[in-house]
Amino acid sequence: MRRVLPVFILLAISACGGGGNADSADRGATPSTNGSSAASADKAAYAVFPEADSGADPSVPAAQGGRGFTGEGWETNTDYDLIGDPRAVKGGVLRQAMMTDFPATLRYYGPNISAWNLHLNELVYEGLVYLHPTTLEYIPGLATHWQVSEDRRTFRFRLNPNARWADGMPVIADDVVASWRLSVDKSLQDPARNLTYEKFESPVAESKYIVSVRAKSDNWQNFLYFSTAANIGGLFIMPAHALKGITGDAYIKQYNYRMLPGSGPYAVAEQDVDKGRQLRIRRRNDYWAANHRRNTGLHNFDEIQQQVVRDRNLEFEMFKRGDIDWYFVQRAQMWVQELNFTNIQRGLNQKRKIWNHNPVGIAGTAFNTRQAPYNDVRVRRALRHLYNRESMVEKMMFNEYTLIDSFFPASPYENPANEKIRYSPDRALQLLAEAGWKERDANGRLVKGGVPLTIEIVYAQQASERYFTIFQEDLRRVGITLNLRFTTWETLIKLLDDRAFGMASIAYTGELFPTPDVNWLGSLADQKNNNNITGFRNARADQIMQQYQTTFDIAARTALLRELDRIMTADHHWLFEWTAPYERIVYWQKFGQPQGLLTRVGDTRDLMRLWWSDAERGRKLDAARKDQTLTLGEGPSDDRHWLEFARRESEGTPGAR
Amino acid sequence: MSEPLVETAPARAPESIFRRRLRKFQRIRRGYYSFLIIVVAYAFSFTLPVVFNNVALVVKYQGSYYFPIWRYYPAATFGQAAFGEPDYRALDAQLEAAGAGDWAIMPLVPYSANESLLDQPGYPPHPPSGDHIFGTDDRGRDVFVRLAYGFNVSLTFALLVMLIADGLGIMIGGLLGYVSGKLDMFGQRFIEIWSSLPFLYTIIIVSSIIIPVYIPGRMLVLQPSFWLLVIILSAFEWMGITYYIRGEFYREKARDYVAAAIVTGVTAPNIMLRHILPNALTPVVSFAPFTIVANIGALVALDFLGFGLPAPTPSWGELIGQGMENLTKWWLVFFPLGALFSTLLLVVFIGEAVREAFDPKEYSRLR
Repeated sequence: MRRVLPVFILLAISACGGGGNADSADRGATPSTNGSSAASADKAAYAVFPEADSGADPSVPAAQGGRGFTGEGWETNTDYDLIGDPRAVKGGVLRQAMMTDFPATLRYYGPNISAWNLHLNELVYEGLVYLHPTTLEYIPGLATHWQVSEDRRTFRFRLNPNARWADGMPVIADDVVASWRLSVDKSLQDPARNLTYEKFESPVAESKYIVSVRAKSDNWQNFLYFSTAANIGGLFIMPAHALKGITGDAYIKQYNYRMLPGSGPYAVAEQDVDKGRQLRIRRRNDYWAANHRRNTGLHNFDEIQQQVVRDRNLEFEMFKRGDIDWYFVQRAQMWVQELNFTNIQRGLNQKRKIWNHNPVGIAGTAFNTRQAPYNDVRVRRALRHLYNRESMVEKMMFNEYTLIDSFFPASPYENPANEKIRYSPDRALQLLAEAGWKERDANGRLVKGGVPLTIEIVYAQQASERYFTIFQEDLRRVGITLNLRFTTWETLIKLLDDRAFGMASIAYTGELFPTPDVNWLGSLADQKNNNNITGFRNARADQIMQQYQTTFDIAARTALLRELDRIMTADHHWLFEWTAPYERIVYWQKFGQPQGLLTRVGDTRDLMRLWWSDAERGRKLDAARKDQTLTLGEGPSDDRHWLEFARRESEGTPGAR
Repeated sequence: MSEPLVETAPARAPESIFRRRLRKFQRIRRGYYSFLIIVVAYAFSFTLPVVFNNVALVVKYQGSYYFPIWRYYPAATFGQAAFGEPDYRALDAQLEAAGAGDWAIMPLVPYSANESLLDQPGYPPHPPSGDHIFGTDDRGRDVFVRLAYGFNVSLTFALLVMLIADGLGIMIGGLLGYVSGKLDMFGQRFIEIWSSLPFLYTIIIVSSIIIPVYIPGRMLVLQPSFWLLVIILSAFEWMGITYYIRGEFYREKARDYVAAAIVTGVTAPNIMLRHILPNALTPVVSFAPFTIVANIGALVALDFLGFGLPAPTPSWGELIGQGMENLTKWWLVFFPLGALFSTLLLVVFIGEAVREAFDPKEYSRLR
């Protein structure tokens, strides 16, 4: 089972202001103003396989994937839309802050990794195929073609003979085998990765360019996790010739701050790692797939500088001074009340709330249903009725959040029929009375058998405390005692793994392709150290999750998840909070951007790949910084391109990208 | 017979060193007035539950008298439709509007330290206004009320830690100095090791392991979490004073009066407690104000990091943390830091005066 790390409610902290504009989708597009605007927007103008098989080893026959390979009987995708904007120009530097401390490692395989490592590795390494971010269809990557057997368990991939590593060596089938071997190496100290790739038998290099692998079970996720690396953190292909003789243990020790040669568009040299301070990610001029359609308009910056800024206030001040190019706005209060300074009014800094379909995940507080009083569904439901989310969202988050009522919020898997639990002390007290909590002691506390109703929330994010103290007061008024326990992240994880908590404030990251069986199978409820922290179990839910794994049809899977969502939500084992289906940023007006600013399912890290330095905007910005009378135009605060796209898509006319 | 020419002075008991020091302390006005301000403010802070609170002191309702400040009444007692505890501010307004002879006496500032006033217009944190002179914090709690309660928390905490830590330090330092020998050697090494532990990290680790239970509605000194933190901090504070007390005991035990006590058969505990200790307390008194400053600082630092007293204990450190998160909300930065600065300044003034008053050199025979 692949373990999804719970992360704190960073998403929930974000909210924003600024009214939405019904017509902002078109105005949200920010066309380039430089000479590249003449570039064709027609996808047909950009080849999927530009050099065909020109780099193929002549000794490999066509039937083995060599020159003259026809692809007959294989699958591929040559009809996909552009991802980037063809008007983009190469050059310039993007300066951004690392949100946390300097990373413990640059690796993505092994311990001490985070989402940051995934995004770095997406720039340096490639997968066999990619997911198109708009349609989530497979598109060619290192592999030009792929095959799935009748029994849906054997997968074959034909590698692009032109693919080259940064050291000039060709990408070959042995590289795929070596990458899989590393993924299943126990000494890699990455049990989640081990589990995912132990579901396959050892891949076979059929020829220099063809590799096949057989999955041990029938599961639609197998092809996804073997073929795809980006977005889901799957199998990044690494060079076998460089990995030769390197065990997992050696890899995690020797490759923390140096990277094996990649086949991707960027590279990090050892001298570009300034530990504790800065990391420079440089674009490769010899990237083999630079002119492929999937990369058109992407990977534009010559250099991406990531600086360590340990304090958010300092980061904001650095942004305002121009030391970094963009700033991720976490708090609604800042968005609404602070982002109205002169540079914003003059248009030197632009603020954007970017609406897209990036999976938002669930945020809230988990009940440990193994313990009293949380083992009574009526108590859990009553507590949900006493959490005044509406008031908090209205009064503390400028009414900019959406309340979560689902385990798959703001996604196609959310069941619209889920009951919407709202603040209702009447209903809560009625439920508590049904559960036996109806007597009161001399202090007005609810008691059962002389014992007062006392609950505890453990949390590791100080920002959550302001909501919990309000909850605490609301509970106290109705006679329930809430103890708040702040702890370190490490302790929280330990308490969750040991099931030694009553209620715990956590969030699960959103997934493009949900894996509910990892989190909610009943068989996990009585085991420690897994993601079923609430102890949820339900026979029908188990049945759905089993069925889900072998359902290859997306519509059928969606229907199953919706049913699962209804069952899980009705169990009230999670005190849901709120979320925001958008990203909020403020940036210096010197970039060109594609429509939508980000990809349909991406987050702010997309701008490393999608944006570019716009020379004319840069000149105008420089002039405006010198001349206080110049303005650059404020621009719309909301970009709803992807919502509009979805609307058009539902009408059958989505258009490109 | 003629009268003697020499006029004898009237008999007068010699003034003790302590009294002379006290008199001198009173003459150092800055320190003395600071002392008075702190003492009066601290004494006043114990009356806060009846001065700053959202619970009525007395209610006359339908001919009966109620004392909510002392006991709980359900909202239904006063005909309110709410659940659990009544809204006494609303009750006060309601009874006054009814004009039926019923009334409620509310505290001077009718807000509690933990109450989020989300029904105010606008969004928290609210800037200072007539109702909330220091504004509200990020969840709508009155900053002035929280600072006032926080003063009591900080000073009580600092005094208790000082008492426990100094008590322990005096005991151990005295023993090491008086007994000396191997006990002293091993004791000193233990203290050196214990002192080298990084106190802040250790406290964060301990706080994570031990569950700091906060019982809403219960007085501060009856909170288990409060005593837990007092004990943890005391465990890291006692070493400093042992060095001085040990030295004092070493010096004093060589004096004639101790030798005299020994030959007259006074027991060792008695010699230590009744003879040496009173002569060895100068460093304790001199350091006391600075120990208080350090303790308040430690609590503020821990609360700032979130590992101090659990929410919702009124805390200066937590408010300063909010100021850090809301740098543009000046009242969240200025008032908590101002309160901390003023208190520490007054205590430092006291410390200066105490040090000067207790300076042994002034009474040295050599001067």
